[in-house]
Amino acid sequence: MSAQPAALELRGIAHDFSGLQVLSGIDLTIREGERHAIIGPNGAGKSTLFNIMTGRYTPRAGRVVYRGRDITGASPHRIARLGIGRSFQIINIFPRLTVFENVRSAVLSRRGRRLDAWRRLDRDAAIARETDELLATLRLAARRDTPASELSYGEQRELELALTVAVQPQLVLLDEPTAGLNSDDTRRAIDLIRRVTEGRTLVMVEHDMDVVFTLADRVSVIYYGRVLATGTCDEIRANAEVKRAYLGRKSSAAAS
Amino acid sequence: MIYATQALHGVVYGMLLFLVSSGLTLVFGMMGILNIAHAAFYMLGAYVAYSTVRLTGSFWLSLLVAPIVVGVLGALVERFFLRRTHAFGHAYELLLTFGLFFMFGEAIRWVWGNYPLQIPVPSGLSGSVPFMGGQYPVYRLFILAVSVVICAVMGLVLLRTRVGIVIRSAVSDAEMVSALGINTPLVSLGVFSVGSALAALAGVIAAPFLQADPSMGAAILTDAFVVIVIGGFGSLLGALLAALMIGELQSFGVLWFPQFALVFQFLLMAVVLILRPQGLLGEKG
Amino acid sequence: MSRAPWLGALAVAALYAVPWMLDTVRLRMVIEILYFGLFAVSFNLLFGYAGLLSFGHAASFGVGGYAVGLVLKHVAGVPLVVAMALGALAGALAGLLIGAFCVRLRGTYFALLTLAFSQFLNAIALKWRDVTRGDDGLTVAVPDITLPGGTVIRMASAANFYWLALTIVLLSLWAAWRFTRTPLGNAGVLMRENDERAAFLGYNVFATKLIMFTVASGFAAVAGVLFATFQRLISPAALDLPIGTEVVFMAVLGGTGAFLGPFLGAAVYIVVQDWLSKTSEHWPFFMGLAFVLMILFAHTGLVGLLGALTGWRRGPVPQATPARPETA
Repeated sequence: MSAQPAALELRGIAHDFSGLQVLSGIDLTIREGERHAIIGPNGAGKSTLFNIMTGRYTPRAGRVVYRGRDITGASPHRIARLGIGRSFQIINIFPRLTVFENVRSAVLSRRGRRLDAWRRLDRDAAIARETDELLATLRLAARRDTPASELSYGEQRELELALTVAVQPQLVLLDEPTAGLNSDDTRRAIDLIRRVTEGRTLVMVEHDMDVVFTLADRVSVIYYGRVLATGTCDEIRANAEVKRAYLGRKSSAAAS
Repeated sequence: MIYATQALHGVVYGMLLFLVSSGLTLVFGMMGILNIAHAAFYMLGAYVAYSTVRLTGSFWLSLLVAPIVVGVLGALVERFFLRRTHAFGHAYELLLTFGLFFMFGEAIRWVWGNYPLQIPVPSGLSGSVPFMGGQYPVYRLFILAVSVVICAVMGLVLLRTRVGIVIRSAVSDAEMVSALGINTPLVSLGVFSVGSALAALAGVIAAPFLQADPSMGAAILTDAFVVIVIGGFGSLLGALLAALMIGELQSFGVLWFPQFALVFQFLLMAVVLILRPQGLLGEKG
Repeated sequence: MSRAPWLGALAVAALYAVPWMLDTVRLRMVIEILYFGLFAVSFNLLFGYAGLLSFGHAASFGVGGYAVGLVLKHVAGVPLVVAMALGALAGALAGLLIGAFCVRLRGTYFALLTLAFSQFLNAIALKWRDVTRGDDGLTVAVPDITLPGGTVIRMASAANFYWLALTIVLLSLWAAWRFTRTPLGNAGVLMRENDERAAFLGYNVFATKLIMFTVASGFAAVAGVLFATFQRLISPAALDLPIGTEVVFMAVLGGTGAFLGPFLGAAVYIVVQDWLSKTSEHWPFFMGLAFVLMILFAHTGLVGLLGALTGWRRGPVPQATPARPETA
């Protein structure tokens, strides 16, 4: 694993919101092909860090480097086109489009057909086939023609994930992919995430320690805007500092 | 001293404009709605004043009657029209107020006729006083005085009272206020109604000076848009500054570039929207 | 549309036969419906599809009208159709320029900035008298069309103008409809639904909205071109608020959720206005009342009402409600 080159590097990332320091000097390396979880108590700056990685925010200081390329503060669509896909903690889909239309929009983007003003979409069998195949692997096929807003919460989470992976990103960033799911749905989500991120690099922010320790190869703990520790699941579990700061203080389920 | 007189004209119109804009900007800050019908409330104020003066002969009574009538109308509009439309989204709320503006405007033409109506300057406020070596109409100074008093009262209410605190927090974060258990719908209703009443009041005091005219709403509407854009949506202080700015711009624009005063205004609004969409003092981007 | 092509063909044939069925007064009204219908449909490409509510859609309508008028006036011997195409192009270009400033904004901010631009153009048309003739308006001299065979189609005839306008409007509607069915048209809908998510999927939000704005402006300009050549006059009123708001009326009345909804709205609006204005001098009040009631009780417009009455539903119904809170 350690032989793998870096996929994403964060160098000295610092950020504040109107003077309130949220991140102070984050250094973190995500290796190609690994599944990396970012954990930490609420308000530790995980979400901010996540939004900086994907171009939603521009950090006050520091650089974000993806495969040797500086992407600090690049616009979201540029970052997406480099092969970085993200999901959102709060469901972020196209509410009045059907499941099929949602996913098809992502498929169109992957194929670089975003600004195609000529070919008729309703007669494009190739696009439809690819979309349906994707839906089938996601078990959303049965809900194909349902408007996204009418899906159950668990299904919307799945669609959220579907949109993210439908553009076939090399680096997948998931922001609390199991937030709000019951234990059945969570187990299903873990299985799904494992399947759809096969062969890709995964970074996820997650509160649920079971999910983290089941999925992740390595874990980073963010605490008060700094990286407290990075290591394998076992290393993190054994880390005295982490225990003191985080795990020991609260039970894992109540971490949120 | 023509410049001093002109500058004072600008302040007077600016303060009048502020009275109209204040309700507009507070409603936008709280509810996210640009209430186009606000201009109709202003116009209605002037016309109700006209009828009150005709019936009772008392301008002072109309200062009371018009804001009450229009304030109630505003409350009805908020409760039975806007709240129904809320679920369809902001675009439809905007369209609704636009339709109401149109409807009220035509209703006014229907009831009062499609021509300007003269409202006499109340006795005691007619005539002029010496000003910078010239003469200045007393009534305009009265407009200024009323506006300043209301502006001060509004400032005190917003800064010093519980209601004021609630309104200010609702402007910056409506969800939070609602989470704190404060009855936001009621606050919205109140702000909307008071804002409408203020517009009517502005209409009343403007009437003897500008006449009651079916096109007065559209005229002030564009000015008020410019004011709240420049001042920043939701910012009362911003509206005050911007209103005075526009007052002066118009006052001197008419003097120096009579042809282009209107163009300047829209140009200014466009520049602010492009460079600083949150306006001079607006917080929400 | 594809289910019964012969039905469509029959409808088109019937449309072409209209001049033999109506007197000139009515025919002129139908011509008015044609270009206002196209104008309303173009407005809805922005509002219903891309979720961008413009209060200044009259800008491109007016620019198209002025452009065709100026070309016909200053370019000797220019064929009518070429002048019309140039007018449409000018409107699209104006849309591109105005849109570049406007589409970065959302919601009310966007609406106000488009309004500012249309008022700005209106002021220019009023004041730049040497070119536009100011308040009086620019007289548009419409030349006859000479076909390659030497046949001359006289434009003084209302029927001939109708056939020309019908052809242009049908082609425009077909092009606009087809556009909404392409991936780019789909991207426009994504802008309405959730532009942020679209950006994270790789869509360039600014570029997509700007293209939508430009395309809608182009079609609005075609409508403006027909307006100017039909009225034979283009005045600053074509750029002003009343026309910019009339088109909003029409679109909402007909229904922003269906491609042809706004066209239906324009037709109903013009017919009802014609009837009301003969019945009551206060017809605008009733128009305003109808509009308010429509928004309160049937904001999906006549198309939505028809759908509810007949139980007939379209596929994905686009509705112009911003999915996210508005920020600048």
